[in-house]
Amino acid sequence: MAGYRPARSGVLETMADFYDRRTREVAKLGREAEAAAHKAYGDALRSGTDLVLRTQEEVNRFGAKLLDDRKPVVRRSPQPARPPRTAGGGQAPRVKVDLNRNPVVKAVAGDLAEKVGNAAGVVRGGVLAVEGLAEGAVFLQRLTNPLDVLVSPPGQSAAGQLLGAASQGVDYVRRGVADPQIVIRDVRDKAHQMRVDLDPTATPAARTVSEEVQRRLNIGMNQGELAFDVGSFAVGGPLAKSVKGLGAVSKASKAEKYLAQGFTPAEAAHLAEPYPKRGMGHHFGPRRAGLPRSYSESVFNRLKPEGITRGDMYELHYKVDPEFKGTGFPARVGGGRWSGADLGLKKYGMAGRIWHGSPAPLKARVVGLGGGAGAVAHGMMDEEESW
Amino acid sequence: MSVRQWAEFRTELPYDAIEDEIDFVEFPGRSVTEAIAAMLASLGYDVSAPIHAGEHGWELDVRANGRRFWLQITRIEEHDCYLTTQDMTWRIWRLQPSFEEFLTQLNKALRADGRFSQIGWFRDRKDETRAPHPVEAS
Repeated sequence: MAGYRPARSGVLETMADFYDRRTREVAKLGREAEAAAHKAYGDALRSGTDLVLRTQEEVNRFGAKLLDDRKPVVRRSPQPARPPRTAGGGQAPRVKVDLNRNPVVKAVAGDLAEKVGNAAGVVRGGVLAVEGLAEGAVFLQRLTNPLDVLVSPPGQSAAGQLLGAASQGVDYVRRGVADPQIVIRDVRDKAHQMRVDLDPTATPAARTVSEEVQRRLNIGMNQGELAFDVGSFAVGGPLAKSVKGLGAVSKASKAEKYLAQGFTPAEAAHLAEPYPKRGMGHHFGPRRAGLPRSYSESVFNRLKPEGITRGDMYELHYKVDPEFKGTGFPARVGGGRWSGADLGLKKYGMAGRIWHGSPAPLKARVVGLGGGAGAVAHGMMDEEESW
Repeated sequence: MSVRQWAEFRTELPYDAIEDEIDFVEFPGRSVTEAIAAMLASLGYDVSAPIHAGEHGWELDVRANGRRFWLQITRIEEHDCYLTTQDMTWRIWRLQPSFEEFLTQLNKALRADGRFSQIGWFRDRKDETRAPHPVEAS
C-alpha cells in the first residue's frame, strides 16, 4: 500500500489525489479567510467599531483567526496506549508520522499554496487597480467641484489633499538633503519588507503545515499582485501605474534604484520625486520642427506620463530623444550631472522611438498617422541610433 | 566633407540656474546661450532670443539667407556644456551659407572667446573621437 495515504474520510488516496485535495483546501482557506475578514470589516463599519486592516496579510491573518475561532472544539477522551505487536503475530512497532509537521508535506503544501496565492494575488491586483480608478474618478470630480473646498473639513478637500501630497514630496527631498541616512534607512526598510513579502526563503518555514500554507499563500498573493502591477505597467504603461496611486512602487523602492545607479542619497531622493508638472517632457514631434503650438504642446505630442518619477522620465527621455544627453542636478542636492551615457543607457532605434516616444493618447487615437509623422520628423533630422 | 555637429566645451561664465525649493525654475545655460547668440549676431546671422527648453537646456534659432540652423546648449555641470546643432533648412538646391560654413564660423568664434575652452566636436552620438574642427575632409 505504499504511496497511498488515508484521506480524512478514511478512504485511501493516491499522492496525486492528496495534492489535488490540498490544492483545493488551500484555495478554499484563502477565499474563506478573506471573505470572513471582509464580512467582519463590513460589520465593524456598520457598528462603528474600530478595525484596522492595513495590508492583505493582515486581512488574511485576521480572517484565518476568525475561521479558527468558529471551528467547533472537539474534545477526545485519551486513547489507551496500544502494546507493540511482536514478530510472532504481535503488533509491529510503529513510527508515528505527524503529517502536520512533516517537512516534505510542508514543502509540497507550501509550494501549492504559493501558486494558488499567485493567482489570487493577480486577481487582487486587478481589483485594487479598479478601486484605484474609481477613487481617482471621484477625486477628479471633487477636484473640479468648486464647492468641495467649502463642504470639506479643513485640509480634507481634494485640492487640500493634493497640496498636502506635494508638500510631502518637498519634505522628503528636504529631509533627504539634510539627512541622507533617512533615504538609506527608508530604502533598507523597504527592501527588507519587500523581501519578507515576496521571498519565501527570507523567513523561516512555519512549524506546521497549516501555518506554512498560510505563510506561503500570503507570499504567493504578494507575488501575484506584484506580477499584476508589473504586467499592467508593461501593457498599460505609466498610466496604469499612476491610477494605482503609486502605491505598489514606493518612493523608497524608487530611491533604491537610483542609489544602486550610483547617485548620492540626496540625488536619489530628488530623482525619486514625481516628474514636475512644469517639466517640459519629451516632444514626439520636435519643437524645433515648427509645429503649431496647439499641437506641439498638446497631450498628443508631449510625452510626460502621469506619476512618473523624475529619474524615470530622464531615462525615458534619454532613450527616445536623440538630442537629449543628460541634465544637471539643482545645487541644493549638491549639483552634479545626470547623464544617460554615464548610466550605460542605450538610445532606441527608429521603431523604439516611435513606440516608446509617442504619448499614449496619440498611440491610442492616431497611431498610424501620428507615428508616421513623428518617424519622418525624427528620421529626417537624425540618422543615428545611439550616443 | 563630413560634419561633426555635436560638441562639448567648458565655460567660465557664471553658473546661472534659477531654483526654487523643489527644482530648477530655469535650467542653467542662459548666459552661455546669450554669449553664443551675440557671437553669431556679430557674424551677421539673425538670432532668436534664448529659448528655455527645460532639462534640454536652452535653444537658439539662427537664420541667414533662407537658411535655418538650430542650436541646443545644455549646461550639464558647473563648467561643462553640450552643444547640439542641426541644419533645419528644407532645400532643393544648395544655399549659402552652408551648414559646414556655419559650423566653421561658430567654432572659430568659440575658440576666439576666452570664456570657452576644451572645445571638441563629435561626428555622431557613438563617436568618441574628439576633433578640434567640426568639418573635415571625408
